[in-house]
Amino acid sequence: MQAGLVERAQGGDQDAFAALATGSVDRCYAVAYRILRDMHLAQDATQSALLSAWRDLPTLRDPERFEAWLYRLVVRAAYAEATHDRRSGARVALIPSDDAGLPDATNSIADRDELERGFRRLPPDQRAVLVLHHYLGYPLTEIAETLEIPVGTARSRLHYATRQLRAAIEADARPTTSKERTA
Amino acid sequence: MTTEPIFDRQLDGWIKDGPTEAPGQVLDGVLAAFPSTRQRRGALRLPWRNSRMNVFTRLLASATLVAFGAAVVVVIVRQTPGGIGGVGSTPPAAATPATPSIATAATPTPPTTPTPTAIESPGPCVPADLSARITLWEGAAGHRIAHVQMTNVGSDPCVIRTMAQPQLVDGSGSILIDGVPLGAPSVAQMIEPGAILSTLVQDGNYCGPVPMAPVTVAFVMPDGARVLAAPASPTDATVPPCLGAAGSAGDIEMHPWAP
Repeated sequence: MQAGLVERAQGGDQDAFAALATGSVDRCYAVAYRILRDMHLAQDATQSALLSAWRDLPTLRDPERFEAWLYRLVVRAAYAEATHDRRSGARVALIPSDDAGLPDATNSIADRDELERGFRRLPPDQRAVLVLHHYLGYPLTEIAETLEIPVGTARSRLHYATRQLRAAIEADARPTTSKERTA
Repeated sequence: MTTEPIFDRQLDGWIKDGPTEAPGQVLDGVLAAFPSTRQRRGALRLPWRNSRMNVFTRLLASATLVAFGAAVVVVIVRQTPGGIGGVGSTPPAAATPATPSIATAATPTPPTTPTPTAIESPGPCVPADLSARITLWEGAAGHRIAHVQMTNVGSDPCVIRTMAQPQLVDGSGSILIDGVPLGAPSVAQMIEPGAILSTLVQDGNYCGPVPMAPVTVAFVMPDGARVLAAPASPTDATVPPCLGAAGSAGDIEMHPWAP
């Protein structure tokens, strides 16, 4: 079904691409948001990725791989947005974020804050691996293929990113020493 | 100490939490912009993985490509008076098809394979076709926010980038606060004749002299063109409060243009 739409869109069928974009936009946005942690940047990245998809669709060799290919474009667009955001500094944040963390059974608010802070300190390529693994449930081989990197690189990025986040949580949970108390 | 399974569950839960639906304007922007974007076409569609082909198939494919290339060269040489580069070999411009292809270059007969559909591409918007105006000023903590609408008053659809360099300007044309020049180009947005796009422009910390009314905002497009918005009123002199040292720089930023 989707492969048929992809093949038609590759041939320039605009209705077919509109159907593909409509069916993919939410997933693209969800992935972009989780990498960028910013609604506006995620919106820009999603639009940019979908427009790239239309432009480059004729170069996609295997229509069955459309989804993984599209996620690759989303990750690239997220990298570009993250780089641009770092250059241009803070952005307007007028619309209240909908990601205010609600407490749940497993995560304390403090842990979530630490995860948020730790995640924002990670470079985009490590964030992307974490999102593909923990949000999309991709195994390392799929992550490597999606991002066009060796499996070993995907593994080390995942390992390093996880270690950084764990360290952020544990640093917060560590009891305060007497020296820190008197400081 | 956080154990590994507990930490993985925490991380899973934290990453999975968050929005799962894109705001409507994201898809709207894509659907409006993609028809004006030309698709990239490869010259040849080779098999995805050459390694899946056996040796005989690869040899056959290579031989076919070589034979095809040689045939094209022979046809071109035969049809060109004086050989390649001969005088008078260029056909009149009027006879040149809009979309040249190997087939049309080699023989005068029409190509048998379908050529890619040529998509009519609206050109970039020019300031004369755009009319912007401030519809409302809002106050925020230390900031002022202008609601701005832009209308395509031209007779044809055109394309603008969703981000520009915003400026706060006064009635004398002086730039009170200048935005940061754009880095990477933003998303293209097509705007039909009569259609309206909206944005919010937020400025803060104006520590300069008293401005001359009316104060308004301008947008410097990526191509350098500038669109000046009509002020909210002829006497409006809205500027944000000075929160820094006298003469310190202000800040101004915008949201992307959206329907």
